[in-house]
Parts: sequence; structure tokens; C-alpha cells
Amino acid sequence: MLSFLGVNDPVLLGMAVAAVSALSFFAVFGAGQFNVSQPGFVAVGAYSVGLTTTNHMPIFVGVLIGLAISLPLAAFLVLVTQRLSGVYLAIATLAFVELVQEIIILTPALKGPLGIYGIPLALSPTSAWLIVVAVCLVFAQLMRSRIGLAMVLLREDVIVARGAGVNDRRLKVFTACLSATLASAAGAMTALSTSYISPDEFSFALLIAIMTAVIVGGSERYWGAVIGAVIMTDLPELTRAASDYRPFMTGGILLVAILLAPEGIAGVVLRGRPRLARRLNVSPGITLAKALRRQRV
Amino acid sequence: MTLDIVALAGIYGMYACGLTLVFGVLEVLNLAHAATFAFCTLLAMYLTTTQAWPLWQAALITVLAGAVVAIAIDRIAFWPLRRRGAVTAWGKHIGPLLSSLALATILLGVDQVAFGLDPRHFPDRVLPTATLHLGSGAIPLVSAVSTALFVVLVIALTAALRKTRWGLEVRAVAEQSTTAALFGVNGERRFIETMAVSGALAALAGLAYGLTFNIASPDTSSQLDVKGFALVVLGGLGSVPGSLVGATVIAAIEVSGAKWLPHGTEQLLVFGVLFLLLVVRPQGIFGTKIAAGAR
Amino acid sequence: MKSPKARFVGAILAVPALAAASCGGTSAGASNGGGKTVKIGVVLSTSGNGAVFGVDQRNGVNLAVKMINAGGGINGRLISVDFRDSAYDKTQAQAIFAKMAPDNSIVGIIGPTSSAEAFAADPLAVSAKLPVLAISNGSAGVPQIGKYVHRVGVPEPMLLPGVAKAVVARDHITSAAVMYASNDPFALTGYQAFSKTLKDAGVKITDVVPYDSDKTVNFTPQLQTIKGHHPQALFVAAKSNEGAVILRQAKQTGLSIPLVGNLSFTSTALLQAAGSAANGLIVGATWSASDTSALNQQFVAQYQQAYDKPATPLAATAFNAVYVIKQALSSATTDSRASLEQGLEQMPGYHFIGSAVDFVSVGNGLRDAATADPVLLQAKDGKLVPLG
Repeated sequence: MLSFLGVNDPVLLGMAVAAVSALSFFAVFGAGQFNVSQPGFVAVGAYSVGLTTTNHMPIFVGVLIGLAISLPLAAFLVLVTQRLSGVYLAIATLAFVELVQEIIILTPALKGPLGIYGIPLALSPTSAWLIVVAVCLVFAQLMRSRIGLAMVLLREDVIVARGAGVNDRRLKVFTACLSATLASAAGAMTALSTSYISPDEFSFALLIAIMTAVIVGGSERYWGAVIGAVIMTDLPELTRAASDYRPFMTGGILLVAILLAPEGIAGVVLRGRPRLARRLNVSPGITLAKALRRQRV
Repeated sequence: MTLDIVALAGIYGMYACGLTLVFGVLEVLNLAHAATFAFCTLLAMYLTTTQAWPLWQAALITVLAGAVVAIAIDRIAFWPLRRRGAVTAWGKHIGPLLSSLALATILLGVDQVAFGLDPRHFPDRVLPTATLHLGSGAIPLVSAVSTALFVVLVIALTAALRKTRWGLEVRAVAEQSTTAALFGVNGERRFIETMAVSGALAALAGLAYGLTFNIASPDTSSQLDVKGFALVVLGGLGSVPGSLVGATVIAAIEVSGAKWLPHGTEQLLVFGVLFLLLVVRPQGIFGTKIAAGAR
Repeated sequence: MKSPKARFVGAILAVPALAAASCGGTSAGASNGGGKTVKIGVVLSTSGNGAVFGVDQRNGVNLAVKMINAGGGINGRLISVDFRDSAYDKTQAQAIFAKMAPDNSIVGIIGPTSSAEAFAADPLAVSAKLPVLAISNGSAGVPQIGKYVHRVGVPEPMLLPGVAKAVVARDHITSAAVMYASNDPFALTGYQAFSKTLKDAGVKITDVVPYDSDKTVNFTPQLQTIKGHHPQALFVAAKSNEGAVILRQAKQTGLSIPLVGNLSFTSTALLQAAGSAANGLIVGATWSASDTSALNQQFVAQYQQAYDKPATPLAATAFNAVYVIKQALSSATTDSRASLEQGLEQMPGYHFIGSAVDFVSVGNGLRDAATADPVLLQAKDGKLVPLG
């Protein structure tokens, strides 16, 4: 049946990569941070793995190098931009993405625009989806914990969050590092599933794809990001007949989501099924009263 | 070299002015501005080649089309969210930003369907080739005229915003539209007018770009979409005179960087400057200080 | 575990499990021995960023199939095409190849459009022993993907040296400047080819000017710097549209030296946009519309009639690829992947429309496409005519 939906191994891999990327954006967006630096960290992860595997080093070394670069870089990025929010933060982090791309292009050691080819196709759909499941488990625990609550509070209003005792600077650093880790992992997965990477993949266009997945799937729940990623990755297959009209479709879906269902598919699911919401042990929205009752967050 | 900066600043400036105006009045970063710009360039080229119109006629219709497209962007992407009385940052700023992004994608699809994939250009008969020689340098007449026009527009717009009743209403609506409504200001009408002006500016920028470089295709919008942010942030998001400053500075960085820096690194400098500016002084040169946690 | 979370996670885990189970692969048909049609897979980017290339390529393929079938096909067996759009996306190209690989009625694939897609998708064809004809994958490393990957379009590193040498000899060039789009792999390899050839010929390189074609709109400062150092020629490897801007601004800056361009400059749309500023530009290609061979005249005329636009070099290479398949299978008794592969390996090269192309060895039993006589063209009034 899934073959009918056009799903085969490469598509499953693509969905898994998209899911991890979407979750990396959720990590910051779910805390109200409009930090759009993810394509830059995807590039770091991809290039780390790409360069090590084409130089006879094991994959895990590349993954570790990717993390070793991404984490401090993400922390630095957040601390430098901590006074910014909303549109300004978005533009600053977008400038970061452009800088990463430009640096890759200009650095001969990184092979510039030629890209890195011959990366081993070492990622299987099963491993990829195990990674997705593992990340989801992490988020499941996270969103139920004090940190998750703090993230939701920060998303609603930074002043109120501070009033409830949230150390917003520490939370911003935490979510940014989580986001960069996931983005770096997604980069490693991209390299290992498509055998070739080049700087033009890690662009504003990638960011648009990631944001669309999170918005359409539902930006208030981590599993919304996964749903959005799966749907948007399969969209070209589902709509193969109308491929000339693809811009209309991707744009149209995002537009409909924002105007009619800004909470995305996850929101619609939870809205329409309060019983399901209860069973999933989440409430449609955490109330301020409940938040304030839990004093130390 | 100064003349090169002047020429480039005219195109960048008109583009930036439209973008910053929408941000100042509607408090939204219009991500469909670049797509409007490209659409208008392609439309003008199409009208003069396939339809064989004279340039002045094509230019007039293109400017009107720019205004219409911008109004459509407002009605489709911004107004439905305004109408709900959004109060959170998401509803007021991020939601419209994302819906404008969606419209940008759709508009690019329109470009492809209406104008085809292959690059377009103006036919030789309409292309002005005159060059102005000033001192030791030369500047194409087109560039000189568009930059002069831009400066005039900035002065006119700034004066209109400061001194006329219309400008007062626009500023009132930008500050606090509910209070302004209490004073009888028709907020919606002002928003539509602002969008129309920004669309006309995008069209003028597109015309200037098209007549200067004479090639455009649906992906022309990607030349300015991210750089546009640098242009408006530098001068101060929301400041019309700031767009003049921002455009001149970025044009200067590009032109002198191409001359003096190691070749190929001038774009790195543009984005490096943007990043540093946001870290150190996000309100740009003319913007008002931004409260932490705002927008 | 019975918590709702675990059940939810279990559901997520079930997705790939179900997929793996249900997609064990389509039932592989028997090899199409002696059947009436020869099916080839055609995977090109006709939407998305690569559409500008892919649409012309698809036109070239369709025209070739039509002409071959009108002439009786391949020894009586008609060609049928299974066309898929990969939208310039690596994952989609992989997905399409993954579908075609187990389908044994498909004896070969033409495509994909971009090298990125090729690196991602061709390995799947290689493990299925499915021949792939690379018509526009000019990146280094493509033939090395595997012996089933046959590069049919001559990559720029094999083409541009001949062009540069010819210009140096013709105009007695002793100094030159080089400009290239640093963000484009083909412009970069084009620059490297120009640069190496010039250095080997003892030409002094006065300026090397990279630029980012996505972000740079104005080239006047760079062109003025170049002019100030008085080179005798300017070699430009552009990505796409900006080539027209460079040509016009070079003229405006008063550069009156010969300009030599890479393959991007063979685009009619680009030449027309540059107008009279393009006159005199020299490019090398493996095909020209003014080649008078009978097949080429037919190709040019029918292309214009069917698609209402002039034929392009990309379309010509795609056209040639179908004829290559025809030649490779013409002496086979059964149409299968093995016989197509064998036929291809035995071909020393091909010559249908455009230059004669040789398959040269690049070691390890792999081959690449090269040409001993590139077509040298000069731009004149928006068209490319043979260099006088």
C-alpha cells in the first residue's frame, strides 16, 4: 500500500532526514525563538561526515566532529543574539546561514561548490527511523518535564516566563544547542543517504522547507513536526501528475495552514479530539495558573 | 567608482524603501516583496517584447501591477490575520511573515506559468543606451534617472509622512491602530495605500534593474530576497530615509569590496556586516531602540 | 509498556516496518527478450530549479524517439519511454531509480539532469546492473560511480581546453584575465580548465576574479580592475543569466578584447539578452545549429516546429543519447540490460549530430566522453555562427 503512495527506501530516508530537521527547528520554535540557523548546522554535520568518510575515517568520527563544532557555535550564536527576538533574530540567524554557505564556497579545503561526492550510502531506512524514534522519545520526555513547560511559557511571553522563574538565557542556550545537535545529525543523515553534498543545498530554500513542515504539521507539538515532514516529503510523489504546478501546491498548503489552521495538523487533531488529547496526557494548552502553581521551573 | 555606487544604490534603495515602509506601517516583514519585484521586471519585459508595447506604456502598467499585486498580498496574507485581532508576536508578526512567504512561492509559480522558464530581456529598441559622463566617470542614463527618482521619492515620502494629514494617519495607524480608529482614522485604507506604494516601489526597482542589467527570469527574486534584509536593517527597519542610507552603504560595500578586497569576498562582507549590526545595533542607523523581547 | 506515549511511539515505528514489508519491490518481470518494444527510462528535471535544462532535454529525447520509431525503430523494435520528473531533487531521483531498478522491462536510463542527483541515484542503477547514460552530469567523479554509468555528454574539462588553445593560437594571446562564478561547480571546473590550459600555453594570467552569481548583480568594478591590467583576452565561466550582464557591462566599461565563454554562453536567451554586446564572443560546443549534416538539419527543423523554440546544445546531447542506445542495441538479438551494457562498452564513440565524441579510458575500466574537434562558434546578432 505504501508503494502506492510512492514510498520506497529513498523516500523513507528523505522523510527521516526531513523529520529530524523539522524537529531541530521545533526545538527552538517551540520555545518561541525565531532562530532559523538550522541549515547552517545541517551543513556543519553534513560536511563533517562528508569530509571524514571520503578521507578514510569512520563515520562516527565525522558525527562527533560535527557535534563538536555545532554545539559551541550554537551557544555562541545564541549568546551574541540574546537581546534579539522575532524578525530581528530571524534575520541575524539567516545572515549566519548565508555566511556558512559563503565560507564553504570560498574554502578550497571544503571543495567549494564542487561538493563532496562518493560519500558511502551507509544509512538504512531502519536506522534512520530508529533515530527519528529516539529523538521523539527525547522530546516526549522533554516536553513533559520542567524544561518543556518552561519552553511553552517562553513561547507565550518572555516577561511572564521570567516572572514564573524561567531563566530565559539558559533556556535559549539549551534549546539552541538541542536544535544544532539535531540539525547536525540531519546533516550527517543527508550525507550518508544521498552520497553527495554541495553548499547550495544548505540555503534559504532548505529553511523554507523545514519551516513549512513544522507549520503544516503543527508547531505546538513535537510530533507535528514529524507529520509535517513526512507529508511534505511525500508531496511530490503524491502529486506527480501536476509537477508543473508544484510551487502553487507548496505555497498553497502553507498559506492554507497559516490562515485556516495555524496550529497545523497536530492542532486540528487535538482540537477535534479532546479525548485523544487526554489520552496523550497533554492538554490543549497549558494555562498560566497551572504554570504558576509549579513554582520552580 | 562613486558613480557605480550611485547607480546600484538607486535600485537597491527603491526596493528597500518599499520593504521598510511595509515593516514600519504594518509591522510585517513582507517576504513576497522580492517576488513582486521579479514579477514586475518580467512583466515589463514581456509587455515590450511579446506584446510590442512602447516602454512608457509598459512601465506605467507595470507600476500599477506592482501596486495591485502588493494590495493582493495584503488582502490574502495579512488582512485575514489582522482581522482576527491577533495580539501575540506569532499572530502579529510571524504569522503574516510566513503567509507572505507562502505567497512568494505562489507568485514564483505564476512567473513560471505566465512568463516561461527562459530568461527574458528588453528588446533593443526600448533599451536606453545613453551614458552620462560626469567628470572622469560615466553612468548609464537609466541608472542616473532611477537613482535621482529614488532620492526624490524618499524626500517626498518622508515629507508626506511628517507633514501631511495622510502621513499623520499612517503613522498613527502604525503606532496603534485601535486607538487611531477611535480618532476616526481609517486604518484599513491606510494599510492598503501603504501596500500600494510599496508595490509601486518594487515595480520601479524592477524596472530599474531590468533596464540596467537587461536579463531576468523567475529566479531573479533570489538575488535580492536575503540581501533586502541587509538593506533595510542597516538603515533601520521602518525608516524611509534609512532605506537611502542602507542602500548606499551596501552598494558602497559591494563596489569597493569588489575593488579592494580579495576577489569574491565582498558578499561575505555584506552578510558579516549585517550580522554584526544586528548584534551591536539592531535598530540600524535611524530606527528607534528596540525593546528586548519585542517583535 | 502501556503508556500512551509508548503506543504513539510504537505507531511511529510501525510506519517504516509496514513500508519495508509491503515494498519488497515490484514483481520483477522477465527480461524483455525479443519483445516488440524497447523501454528506456528517462529521468529529467522538468520542474524546479533544473527545469530550464530538463525541458529542453526531454524535448530532445522525445524527438529522437519519434524520428527513430518513424524509421522503423531499432531493427524493428520500437522505443517506448517511461518518463519521470525528478525536480532537481536528489531524494526524488533516488526514489525514481529505486522504482526503475527492479523493473526489468527498462533496459537503460537517460539522465538525471544534475550531477548531484546522479551521485545520489546512479549507485542504485549500478547495483541493479542498469546502464545509465549521463547526458549533462559534468562533475568530476561521475564515471567513477560505476561501470554502468556512461557519460555521453562531453564535460567541460574535456571541451574547454581545446577552445582556449584555439583562441590563444588564433589571436596570439600572451596575457589574459579569467572570471568565474565561484558558487557554481561547472563554472569552477570551467575556470580550472581555462586556467590550466592558459598556464600550460605560457599565457600570463593578469587577474583571477571569482564572484557569487546568486548575490552579485553588478560586475563593473571587477571589469574595471581587469581592464586596468590590460589583458589581451578575457575568459569567463558563468553560471547562467549573469553572463549576459557581464557581456554588456564589459562593453560599457570599454573592454574591447576577445571574450571567451563557457557552455553557459551557448544559451540563445542569454545571447539575445546581451544584444550587440555579445558580438564577437567565442564559445566552444559539441554542437551547432549551423552544422549541415542531414540528421542535424532534420533535428533543427523538427525541433523548432514541434516546440516552437530553437534547439539547444542540451537538447542535442539528449537527442544523441537515444541514438547511442539505438546503436548499442542494433546488433543485439535480445533487448536487455546486459546486451545494452555490452553494446555500450563496445562502442568507441559516436557521431550523430554535432562533433564526433570518443569514449576515452580514464582507468579502472571506466570511460569518459571527449571530443577531438570541438565546434568553435562566435556570437553574431544573437546567434552562434562558426568561427571564421
